[in-house]
This record gives sequence, structure tokens and C-alpha cells, in this order.
Amino acid sequence: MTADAIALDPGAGLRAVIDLRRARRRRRIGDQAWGDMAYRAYTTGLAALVAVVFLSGLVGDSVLDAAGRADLAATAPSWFGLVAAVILLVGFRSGSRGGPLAMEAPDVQHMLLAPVDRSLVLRRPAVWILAYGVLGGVLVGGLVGSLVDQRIGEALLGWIASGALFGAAAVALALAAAMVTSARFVPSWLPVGLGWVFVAWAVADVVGEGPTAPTTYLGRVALWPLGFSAVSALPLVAALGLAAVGLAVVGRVSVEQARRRTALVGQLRFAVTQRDLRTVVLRRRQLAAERPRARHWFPAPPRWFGRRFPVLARDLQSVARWPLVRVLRVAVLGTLAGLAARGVWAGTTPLLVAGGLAVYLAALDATEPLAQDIDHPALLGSAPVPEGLVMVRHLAEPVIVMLAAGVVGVAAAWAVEPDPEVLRVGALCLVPAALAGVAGAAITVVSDAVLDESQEAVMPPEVAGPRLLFRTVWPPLVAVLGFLPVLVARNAAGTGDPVAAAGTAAIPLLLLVGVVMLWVRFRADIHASIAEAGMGGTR
Amino acid sequence: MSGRRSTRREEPDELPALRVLGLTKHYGDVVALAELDLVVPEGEAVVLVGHNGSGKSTLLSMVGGVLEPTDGQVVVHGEANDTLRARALRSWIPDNPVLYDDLSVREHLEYVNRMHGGTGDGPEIDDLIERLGLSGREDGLPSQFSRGLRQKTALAVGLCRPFALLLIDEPFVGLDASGRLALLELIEEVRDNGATVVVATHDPEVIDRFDRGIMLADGELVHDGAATDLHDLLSADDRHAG
Repeated sequence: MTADAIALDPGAGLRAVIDLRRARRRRRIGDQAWGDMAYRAYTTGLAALVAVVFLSGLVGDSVLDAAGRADLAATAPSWFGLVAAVILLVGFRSGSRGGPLAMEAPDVQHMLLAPVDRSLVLRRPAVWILAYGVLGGVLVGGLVGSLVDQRIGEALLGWIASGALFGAAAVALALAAAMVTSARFVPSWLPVGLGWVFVAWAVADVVGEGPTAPTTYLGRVALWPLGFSAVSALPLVAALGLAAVGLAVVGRVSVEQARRRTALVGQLRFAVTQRDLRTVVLRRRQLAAERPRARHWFPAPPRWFGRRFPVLARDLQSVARWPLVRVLRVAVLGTLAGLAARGVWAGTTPLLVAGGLAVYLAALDATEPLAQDIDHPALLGSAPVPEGLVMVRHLAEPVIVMLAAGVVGVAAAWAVEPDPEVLRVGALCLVPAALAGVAGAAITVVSDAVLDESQEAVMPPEVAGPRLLFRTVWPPLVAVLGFLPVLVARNAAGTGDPVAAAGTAAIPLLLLVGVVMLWVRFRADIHASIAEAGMGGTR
Repeated sequence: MSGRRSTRREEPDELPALRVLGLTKHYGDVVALAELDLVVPEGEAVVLVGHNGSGKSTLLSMVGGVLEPTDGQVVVHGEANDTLRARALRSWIPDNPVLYDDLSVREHLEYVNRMHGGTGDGPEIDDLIERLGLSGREDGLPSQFSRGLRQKTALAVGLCRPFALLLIDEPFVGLDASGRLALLELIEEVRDNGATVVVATHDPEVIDRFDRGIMLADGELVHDGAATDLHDLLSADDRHAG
């Protein structure tokens, strides 16, 4: 057909889009397994109830006195503001990657390429995602409000309403920020940078430095029952305004990013349902367009080194090609771990968990070469040595990387308050923390995804449930255990030598790391022996 | 001719079906397509060849509107590539069929045809179903089809709507002999009706069906001339690779 013969009728195209969606929705409702849905709703409700009871227990129910209330009114808004800033940063990051919408691939192919105004095509899904997000914010915010009421009393409805309003506004701001960012008015690094500025400002506000952060005003909404201020209503107006702008510009989304996102988000969701952390890490990196560098950060190891230690030489080359963002991420996680350890040393014991998780996440990046070999079992199997031996040799590189990240962490901890004792304790504690982080990450990487465990399907739920919980919790727990020497050193600080105490506490941890290494080395042999014994038994 | 830039000239009054100006695509440090200029007159049938990674799919995806150029621009019948008019004029069929799991062949054709201003039914659609060997399967779900049948469905979806520029990426992969023949006939037919066709393929047997041949290597244009010249170039290239 010639170009002149083709007429443009966007109205008819939009009607076709609407009819197509309606037809698919009808079909989905018809195909829905309502029993499954009811069961899912039941289990979700049960889990929510358990979470509420657990959180209520944590919060306690002793009512705050006047001084406690004054302290809450003074400090809580900045903490709520920090939460809002982090949610906002997530929104900016999502938008820079084409979010928050994750369309189906055929929708991108057929609807976004059709001669129909994309704003009209995308507005409805955008409204839905905004509505669902705000509903989630209302529920979580309302729950937090009710927990606050436990300690304050007197105005349950008021606390629930203000908490819900805060949750709704924070989520709406984040989703709207994502929509505006994905509209590509400015380069995507700019809004993400702005998000980090908000977070840094909110952190500064929490520690009492600098002027009041904008997100702290939003945080005050959650505490309205203690005192209403008209200024704190401004972020609510901003959330509404930004949501309106986001919905207006949603059609400016990049088709390329929408297309890339549609495939990766689907796989990411599936991997999450399977607790397949390796796939989650991979897809997340793809979504963030993290690619190895063409140029090395440092020269390749000499040939003799490569011949003597081929696995380590290959792994170091992998590190040499890390993208800048991964280098920064590991450095930031190392810094966070160091600051968390400093917090534990200063008396805030729960920061142990935060430090352990930071080390675990960094170690997941550091164990990438091992993960790649496991992703290609044929390659791993072709090595002229047992697979387990290759896997253990792969752990040398993450240990080096994590020790380097640990040095960054110790430097950060020392920078907070220069104290020679912090340096001495830190230098000792970074070794078990780094090794435990690598051990935890190695367990995650070497363990199969739940999907691959055929025996999972035939296990009774009483066994499968706790087993699944153990598999999910154990690897990060190993990394958290790596921070115990800091706790022991703190307790010994007043009465004895903290370095010696930390050293003593590190011994069982090093044994644990050794057991994990042995497990990695002989895991395949153990599984083969079990399988052989099982087959012999059935004959 | 050989060279990086096209030397074809258009008549002053003639609006080309496709004009590519300084089109470039980089993925970080990797150059998927180096700066490319190209003019395709209305009604021409162009075959695009090159080894894996040569930039064929990248070029078609950018012209198809799903990849954003790092630099340069694509103009379809005088329209910037992302306007409603350009989207109405251009039909891009990717190498991997992209179809709804829960829509039948006929529903696909109906809705896509309607999105482009058609009525969603009619003898043209029935004819397309028959010629691509999908008769009897029009109410089936492509998600339950073989690769070849899904490919035929994707071709039908791309052809069921009005277009003036047809872009097809690796259309012969997975097609049986009859499907391949039917597709070649359909391409010839749409061209006879005035549409411009650009097909990327690895198949040397179909090259002679096209007027013009373009060869890419490592993201650069290495040949732009008569399609028949590609035989010698491809043989020489294969010998070199071997």
C-alpha cells in the first residue's frame, strides 16, 4: 500500500486497545482458580496477623510519659522523613529504568507501536498501579499508626489516619516521581542523584545536622495527633500535584526501556517467587544495565600466576572488569557495614543485623565468578579436577574483595570518631566478618533454586516449610554471625582487652567458615552418595 | 558498490520511504551500529544481510521504533520516526514472535487490524490466514503452537494491517517450504501494491527476489548495491571466515 492511501484514525485504534484489554480481562476472570485465590488471601491475612502481633510485641504497650512524648515529637518526624526519602529514591531509580509500569511484551509490541496516543494507552495501567501502591501505603501506614498509638494512647483513629496519610503520600510521591523520571525530560542520572540528595539530607536531619529536610515535613504528617501544622500539609499537596503530572506524562515512556523491562521484570518476579536469589541478582543487574567494562581497572595477573592459580587469575580479571556502579556499591556496602559495626561498638546491638546484611549483599557481588561457573555446569564439569575443588578455589577472590571492602568499612568507622581502639578492634573483626560474608554468599550461590529441587514437591508441608525458611534465612544469618566479635569486644571493653576477646570470639566463626568451605568442596559428592543410597534402597 | 555511506540519490520531488541519517547505536563501549546513512525509495525491496552481530536487527529495531538511536535519526515517508503517522505507515515484524498467550490467531489479527484503523475482519484477513497455512488453526492459541506456526502467526499479525513500509527480521527461520513460498509471494504482492520492503535474512536463496542488497559487518555498511552482487560477497565472506 502506498503512504497516501493510509489513513490515520487514533480514535478507532484506542477503542481497539480498550476492547482488547476488556476481552483479556473477561478471559482472565473466567480462567481464575477462585479456590487458589481464596487460599492465597487466607495465608496472606494470616501472615499479616502474625506480623502485627509480632510488631506489637516489639513495640510494647507501656504508655509514654510527657518527656517521652516530647522526645518522640522532636525526633520521630526526621526518621519518618528518612523512610519517605528512601521510598522516593526507589521511585526515582525505578523511573530511570522505565518503571513503574511493567507492561507485557505483546502490549509493548502491539499497543505502543500502534498509531494511538501512548498517554491514553498507558494512563489506565498507571492509575491502577498508583491506586494499588497508595492502598499498600495506607495499610502499612495505618498499621504503623496503630502501633504508635500503643505507646501514646488516646487517639487510635487519629494515629491510624495520620499513619495511613503518610504512607499514601510517600508511595504516591515515589510512584509519581518514577512516572515523571521515565518521561525522560532530563537525563535519568539527574533524578536519581536528586533522590540521593533527599536521602542524604534526611540522614543529616536524623543526626541533627543541617536545615530541616523536605521529607521531614512529610514525616510530621505521621505525628499529626501530637500537633498539627499547616506547613506539613504541603508535601501532601506536592504528592497530589506530582501524581497528576506523572499521569499526564506517562505516555513519554521509552519503548526501548519498556521492552527491556517487560522481559526482565517478569523473570525477576518469577525468580522471587522461587527464592532464586542468583536469578534475582542477575535480572536486577540487567535491569540496571550493568555491563562489564571494556577496559580493565588493573592489569591482568602475570602468566606464571595464571598457570599456577588459574581460577584466581580468571576471577581477578572478572573484578578488573567490574562496572563502576558495582565498585561503588561494594564500597558503599563496606562503609555501611563499618558504620553499623561502629554503632554496635557504641551500644546499638540491633545494628549487628544491618552490618551482616550489608556484608552479605557485597559478598553476593564478589562471588560473581563462582556464580557464573555454576550457571554453566558443562563448563564447570569439563575442568580436569573435581567441581567442588574449582568452587572452593573460586572463593579466594571474594575473600580478597571483602577484605578490601572491610578496610573501607574500618576506615569509615574510624572517621566517625578517630579512636585507636576502634582501629585495633576493627582490623581484627573485619577478618571474620569478611569471611562469614563470603561463606553466606557461597551458600546462596551454590545452593540450587527451589525450582530445581524435585524432592521439594513431594515433601510434606511440615518439612518443606521449615526447610524453605532455613534455606532462605541461613545464608544471611551466617554473615550476621560474622559481626559477633564486635559485640564480644564491646562487652569486654570495660573489663579487659577487647581485641583479645574479639579474637577468641572469632575462632568458632572461622571453624564455621571452614565447615561451609568443606560443604562447598564436597557437596556434590555428598548429594551423589545420598542419591546412590536412595536408589539402592528402592531396588 | 562498496563503502560506508550510501551514494544513492533521490529525485528532488520524491519523498523516500525511509531515510536514515547518521544512525548510531552504542551499548556502553560496544558499537552495535556505526554511523549509517541510507535512503530507500518508495516501492523498493531491500534485503539486508550480514553475520550475527553485524547490526541488521539493531538497524531494523531502530527503524521499527523499539530501539532508541544513540545518535542520528530515522524518517519514514517524511515523518519523524515516533509520530503517530510514522507508526501507522510502518510495520515491524521482529525475529522472535511476540504474541498474547490468551488470544487466538483470529483475535490477534482482529485487534491489531483495528488498532491501525481497520474493521478487524474481512476477506483480506481470511485470505492471509489461508495463504500462511493457518486455516483450521485460527481459533487456536499461538502459545500452544510450534515455533513455525507462531512465526506464521507473527507474520500474519504484521501483514494484517495497512502499512507502507514493511520491516521483517529473519522471517524464514522456522518456516516450512510452503510457508516460505507463501511469504515470498506475499512480500512480492505488498511490493506490487506500492509498499517498501526491508528484510533481514541469513538465507542466500532468497536474495535474488530483492532489488537491492545491503550488507553490514560489525555495525558498518560494507555493501549497498544490486542484491545479486551479495552472492559473491557472501561466498567470499564465508571463505574468509572458514
